Amino acid sequence: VNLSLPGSATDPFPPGDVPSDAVSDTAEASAAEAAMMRAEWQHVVFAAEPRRLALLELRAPWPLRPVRISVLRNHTVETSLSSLRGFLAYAGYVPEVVLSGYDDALSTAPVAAADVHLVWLDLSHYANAEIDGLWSWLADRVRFLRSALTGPIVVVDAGPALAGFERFNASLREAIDGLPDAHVFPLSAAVPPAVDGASVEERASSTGTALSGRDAVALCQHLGLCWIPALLQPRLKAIVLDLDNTVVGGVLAEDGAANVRTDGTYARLRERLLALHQEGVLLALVSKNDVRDVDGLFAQRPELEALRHALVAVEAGWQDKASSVRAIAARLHVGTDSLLIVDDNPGEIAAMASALPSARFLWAEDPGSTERALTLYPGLLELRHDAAASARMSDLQAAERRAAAAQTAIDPAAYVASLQVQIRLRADDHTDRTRLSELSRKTNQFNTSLARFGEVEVDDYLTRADRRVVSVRLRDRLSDSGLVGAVFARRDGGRVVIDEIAISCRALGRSLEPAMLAAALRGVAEGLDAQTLLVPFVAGPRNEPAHAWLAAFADSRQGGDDEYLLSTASLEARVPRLPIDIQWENGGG
Amino acid sequence: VADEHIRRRASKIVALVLGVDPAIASTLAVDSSPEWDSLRHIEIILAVEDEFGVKVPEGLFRSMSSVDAITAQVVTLRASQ
Repeated sequence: VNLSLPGSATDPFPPGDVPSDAVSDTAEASAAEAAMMRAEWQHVVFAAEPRRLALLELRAPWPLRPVRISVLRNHTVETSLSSLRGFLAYAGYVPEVVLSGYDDALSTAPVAAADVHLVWLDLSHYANAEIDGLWSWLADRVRFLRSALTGPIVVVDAGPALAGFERFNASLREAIDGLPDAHVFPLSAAVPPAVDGASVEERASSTGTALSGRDAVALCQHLGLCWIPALLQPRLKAIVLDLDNTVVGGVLAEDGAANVRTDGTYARLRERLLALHQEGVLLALVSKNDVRDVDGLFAQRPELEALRHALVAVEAGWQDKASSVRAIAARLHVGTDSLLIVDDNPGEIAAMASALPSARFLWAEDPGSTERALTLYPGLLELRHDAAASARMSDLQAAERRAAAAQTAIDPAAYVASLQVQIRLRADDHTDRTRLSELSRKTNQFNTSLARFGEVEVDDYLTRADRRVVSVRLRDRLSDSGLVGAVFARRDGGRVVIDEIAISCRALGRSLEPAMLAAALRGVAEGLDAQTLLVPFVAGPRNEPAHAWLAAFADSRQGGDDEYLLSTASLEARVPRLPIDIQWENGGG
Repeated sequence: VADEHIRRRASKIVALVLGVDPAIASTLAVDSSPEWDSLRHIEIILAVEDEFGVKVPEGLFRSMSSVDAITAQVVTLRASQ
């Protein structure tokens, strides 16, 4: 397949072009060319059994972000990790791998300055160990590493070659569960089913590892496409689907609602989409069809009912698709960089990529390969259950009802009173750690510093006496939005520095920020025994809403810097006189 | 013709794994090329295996010491496997 645009290079891998650790592999391509190149790469990176040669040939013409991966190992991983580069390049990263020595005892001092710490042991080295002793020892070592390192830790679990691997893996997971930013990689789920014992490398004495070459590439595929991106970047929030020859087989306007195909691989694709929906990914539809035809399709084909119910937005019509996608992003309160757009038409992808350069694209060549790609696509893996996911769905529906009510309301106070808004605050609640980290890492519009705190850093705010973190929960009569706000604070001399304020976009647009934050900021000031608060602002591509709010809310700006001052006395005056029920749930105020 | 096709792909594997120009890959050998070390050698063998759908017995690892040797072994292995 060749999806190159007219005028672009037809051979992206010229002779003599060799791998390099440069941040960009080749001259940078336009957004449309990059989208087309990524579509060409899909055959390689999403393949059921990816080929090493094809992976080695990949050269990314888009910018790559360096990622430093420290590997604690007891076997030869170099020959496996060589295939990681191609998968990571698709996801937008270039790896710098730092290897430990061969260390069965995991006693080597780990490299502290790494973005990801990978613990990858060949467990055949411990063939004489009891399973219970083995997982228990490994869990202890991971706990030690967790106390010594700040970045995320990924432990590769046991493959099927280890007798008792299921018990080992379940016990290891249970032992590590709850450690901040420590995760167990499921090797047995990542590798393809064994064919003639292919998962057992009987030549381990020469290859240096018991993992077969085929399984090593499968492991790198999951690490490079799913896991490492999930550890480093916010999860994608929504998938925007084309209809014709993407969600259904055929063209609705030509074949008719009764004749488009929905069975076989299309049914499996729908199942995958619905599974992602269950995990909190929003689904939307953009189709160049008459809206009555689209409505008719969903009305006539009962097998599509579950998908129709899961779609939070449908844009049908003859306008250009980029405009429709923008309209959907606005309705969902998300940036276009949080969207994955799935379309079978390369021309449409190129046009949308030009207009929406930060969006991601998946070429829906056929439903089977699309379904597989959606199991591996960077940014879709849910590492830990997202408790906010179900709240996000109901919040979107409630937002539309609120907007309609606000438009007709004459008295704002009466409108707010009618919503029966409840704000609940908690200080230093350890059970909120994962969600607090999510808010820091995922919020783009209302985030004052873009600090992107991982769970280990959040733990610092939860536990240290000179720090405090406030969780803000929001509900009203239309929806329970859950934990939507976080304030990270530390005492610095006689004042409190607010290291980050993050509010989910789901809570924005209701003019509740002053009420939420005045209460939370007063709480941290009292808890840390200070009367003055300093809020530094760090500008990012999309956090102007936070900047505008801060500039209006603060007492003053310090010097010429983007640092804002507040006092506890003025915070009291800034609480809006609206009928909102605000309470601390754990006395943290 | 088939052998030449195998040779070209084997040469490409060696070039990409070692990070050298394909034009000189066919002139290199394990014992005469510092970049062709033992780890790269295993990587080349694994790439040869999945590119040509063969399994290289451990006893043949050392013998696949150049593009020509790889080509000859792949032809033999394909015939026997």
